[in-house]
This record gives sequence, structure tokens and C-alpha cells, in this order.
Amino acid sequence: MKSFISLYKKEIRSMLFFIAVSILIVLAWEVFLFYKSSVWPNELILGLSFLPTSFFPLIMLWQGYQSYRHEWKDDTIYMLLTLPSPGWKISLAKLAAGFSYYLSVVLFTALMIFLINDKSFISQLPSYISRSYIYKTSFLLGIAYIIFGMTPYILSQFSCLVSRFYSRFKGLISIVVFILTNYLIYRTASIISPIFNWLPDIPVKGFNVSMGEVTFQTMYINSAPIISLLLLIIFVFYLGSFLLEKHLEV
Amino acid sequence: MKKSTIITVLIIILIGIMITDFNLAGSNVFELFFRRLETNSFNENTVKFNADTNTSHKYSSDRDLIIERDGKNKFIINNKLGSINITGEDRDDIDIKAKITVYSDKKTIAESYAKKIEIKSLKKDDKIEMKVPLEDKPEEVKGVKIDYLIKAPKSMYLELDNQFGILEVTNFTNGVDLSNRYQESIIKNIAGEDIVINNKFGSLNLSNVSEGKVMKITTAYNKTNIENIKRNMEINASYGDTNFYNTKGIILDSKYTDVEFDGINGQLKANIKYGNIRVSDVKYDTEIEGKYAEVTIELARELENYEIEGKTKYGDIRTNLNKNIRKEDKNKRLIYKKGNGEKRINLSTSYADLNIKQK
Repeated sequence: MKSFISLYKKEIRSMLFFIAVSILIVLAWEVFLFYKSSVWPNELILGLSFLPTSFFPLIMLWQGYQSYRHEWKDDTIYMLLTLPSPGWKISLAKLAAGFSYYLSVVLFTALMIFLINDKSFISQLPSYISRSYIYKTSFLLGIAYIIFGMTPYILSQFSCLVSRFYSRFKGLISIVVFILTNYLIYRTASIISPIFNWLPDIPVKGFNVSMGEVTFQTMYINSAPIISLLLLIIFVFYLGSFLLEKHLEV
Repeated sequence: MKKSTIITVLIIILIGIMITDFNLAGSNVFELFFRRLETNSFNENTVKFNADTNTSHKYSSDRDLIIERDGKNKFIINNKLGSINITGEDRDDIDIKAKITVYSDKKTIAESYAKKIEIKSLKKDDKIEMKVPLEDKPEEVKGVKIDYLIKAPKSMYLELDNQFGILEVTNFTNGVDLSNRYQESIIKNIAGEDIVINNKFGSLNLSNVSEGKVMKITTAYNKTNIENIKRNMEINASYGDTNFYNTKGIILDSKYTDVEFDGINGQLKANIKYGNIRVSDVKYDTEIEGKYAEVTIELARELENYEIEGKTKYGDIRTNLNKNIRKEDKNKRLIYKKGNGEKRINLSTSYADLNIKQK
């Protein structure tokens, strides 16, 4: 555990500058919108305040790739591999640091969205949309968004590790491996998902306004493909850790 | 064998598999994953015309009625569910063919109630009102739909309020007050003093209205087409698309609506928010005030004497008039006079562009 914490701290230290820059950019954007809120319509401000969230998964993709690339670049990989820590612990420390970064910028952006936007529209929503429904749905969307953002991190981390087997064209190989891994995990998840059909479905409460009538309906999402996909992502993560520990030569 | 060689071989094999898979399965490669997320709950019908009418049985029964006019001038129907198709004719009675449909989970109840329902006419003062008493409706009956096909004297004033069905009104000469929600309205060949039309959540097609008093139209959440109108109108349009062709003067108040005019034979006064407005063939006085609304006007070739003033805040002015545009900070302004400046064209908008074209 001690080694994991020191690895995690090392990763966080190397990310500090990037975290600060990201938070400042988000802050600048949200302050700009706040400044414009007296001129631009509230709906526009609300929509634009979410704009940074569309970039975070892309940043995570880059972060995942960088998490190992910089070890080779800074020649710290020798030291990393001589540590008495298994590959999965090293990868997990990097993943935890990446997750911390992602969570901090997402939470900061959510806070800014909450602060700069006019919240009076919530009280103007139709009575059938309760506050608890809004908060619950927002929470579930947040969880889905975080999983969505961590996936490219793990896949690009794996792509980077595979590219290290080569002395040339590492960038190109990373891209090819990244595309292939995406294809493989989605394709395999589709094929193996019937194995997990016994798992309970995920209820999602939605409403439909049609011809002036409001109908509430709980729709159920099959959890089997989601579980299959998560298992495959975990497999890719362990495969990367295994390659790092057993097969990569520096 | 070198590790990199093994990985290269593996990558090449996997690329081959991926390409073959894409060739054979196409978009299904990824679609299958998302299809797997679906459960039976996705296929349940959630779009209902009424929350209560998702029933397993329905039964229809027809009625034929002839109602004498007896000198009455106003004809009223308030239909909560169904359609009304009414045509004005040279006649002295009202010929009604109605189809009653009853929805219930119990087949026998749907059938017996559909046969029991009566359509009554109530004559009072100067009006004839159609009534369908539903007080004794059994609990198991979830909905009663009535579709009317009516031939009535064309000189009667119509007061129709319809929901969840098509409203079709043709050939009436003494004015109308029409309201329809959640379905299309087709209204044509209308004359008379008072004309009021209200249409929401369904398209509106209005054509051939004669000269007379200013008519009033309200539309929302729909697509509206209005053509061949020989009287002035006031229209309130929101959340939709509205097209005018060959009309007289118009006073428009709209929001979240794109509006197009072609051939206005009268003055136009428009106030538009969050939508675009395009006016072709401008010949008369025109006043447009927009906010977040792109304004485009095309001056008629025969328009010789006019003065135009256009201004926009946080937008651009584009024109083929040979005139410089004055820029002051966030505001742009154009003033142009041709001939004696008889017709006044005032255009202003903000957060959007202004386009002025001389044919």
C-alpha cells in the first residue's frame, strides 16, 4: 500500500501543472460566460457552460498516452521497473492519478456551472419534473460520463505500452493499436454479453410529452453488454500491466 | 522470434479480421453492441393520444343525423377527441355523419357503450350546439372518440373546438372561430366579419380568405402555411415555422419561429424573437424589429420611391444597395433613400445579421 501511495503521489506531482492549467482554463471560460450572462440569453449560457466537458474525455485520451510516454522520455522507466511493485500496481497508481485529475476538473466545472447559471429555471420547470428527479438523473449521467472518460485513458495507456516494443513509428503503432483495441472490446462485448443476461437490468425513469399528455415510463437498459465491456476494459488494463512487468525491455 | 515481430503478426491478423468484419457486417459491428442494450421496455408504445386510452379493445358505431336550421346562425361543436370535417353548402339543414369509437379493456363494454352513446343537438337563442352526454360513462371505458363529417349551411357562423384529430373547414361565408390542438387543421374558402383561428401542436393550412375585418391567428409548436388572403391579419406565432404567400397587411408577433413572406400586398409590422425572417418582394411600408433574429428582405423591382433604415447590434449588414454602412462600436446602420422616399422600410435587429437586397 505504501508503495502504491508513493507511486500515486509521484504521478500527481507530475500532473499538478496540468491540473492547474485545466482548472484555470475552465475558470476563465466560466467567468467569461458569467460576464456575458446579462447580455446573452440564459439558455445559451447554460449550454455553453457545459462546453469544457466535451473536451475532458479527449484530454484523458492524451493523458493516458502521456502517462507512460513521459517515463521513457524522462528515462524514469528504468527506475519504475526496478521497483518491487507488480505491473498492475504501477498502472493502477497511474490510473488513480488520472482519475483524480478527471474527477477534480469535472467537479470544478460542475461547481462553476452551478454558480454562474441562473437557477430560477428549475422552479419554472413543469411540476412533473421534480427536483429529486433532476438530481438523481444528473448523478447517474455524471457516473456514466466519468466511466466514458476513463475508457480512453486505459485504452490509450495500453496502446502506448504496446508501441514501446518498437524502436520506430511508435506514434503510428499507438494509433493502430488504439483503433484495434476499441474494435475488439466493443465487438467482443457484443458477442459475450448474452452470458451475463442473468444480471438485473438498469432502470431508467423517463417521461414523454406527447400531444400535451405526460406519460412516465421506466425503461430498462440491459446491463449485460455494459458489464461485458467493463470486464474487457479491466482485461486490457491487466494485459497492459502484464506486458509492462513481464515483457517490456528498456 | 523477436517480441516485436510476434506483436506485428498479431496486429496484422487483427487488422485483417477487423477489415473483413467491417466488409461483412458494416455498421452492425458497433450497432450490435447498442442493440444489446435494448430490452422489451424500449418497444412499448409510449406515444398515446390520451394517457388513458392505451386499451386493448375499441368498437366503432356510426350515427346519421339531420338537424333543421330553424333560423339559427351559429353552429357550435366542442370535440375533445376526434376529427371534424365540415363543408358549407347552399342548404337549410345540417347533415351530420358521425363515427363513435369507444376504447376499453373490455370488449363487451366497448361495444355496448358505443351503441348507447347519443349525439344531441341543443338549440338555444341563435345557436345550435352539438352535445354528446358522457355522464353515464362506465369506469371501464377509457376514451370516446367522435369523428364528424358534416354538411352545413354555408352562411352559419362556426365555433369549433377540436382536439386530437384533423379539423377540416371549407366554404363558409359568415365568419369562424376555430381551435384545434394536437393535429392538423385545413381551412379554406372563408369569408365573413370575424375570423379567429387557433392552432397548436399540429400544422395549419389556411387559404382563400375574402376581404373583411382583421382576422386573428394564433399558432404554436407547428408548421403554418397561409396563402391567398384578401384581408389584414394579426398573427401570434411561436415555436414553429410559418410561411405566407399572397397576403394583405400583417401584424406579426413571433418567437422561436422562422417566418417567410412572399407577396405581401399591404403593410408589414413584425416583432420577432429567436427566429429568422425573410420577406420577398417588398412593395409597401415595412417595419421589422428583431432580437436574435436574422432579417432578410428583398425589395420589389417596381419599388421606386422608398426610404430604408436598417440597423443591427452585434451583427452585420449585407446589401447590394450602393451605400456605405455606418459602424459605431457594436452597432451598424444603413440609411438609403430612393425617389421621394414615400414607402418607409424600418428594419432593426440585434445579435443577428440584416440582409437587404434590391432586385
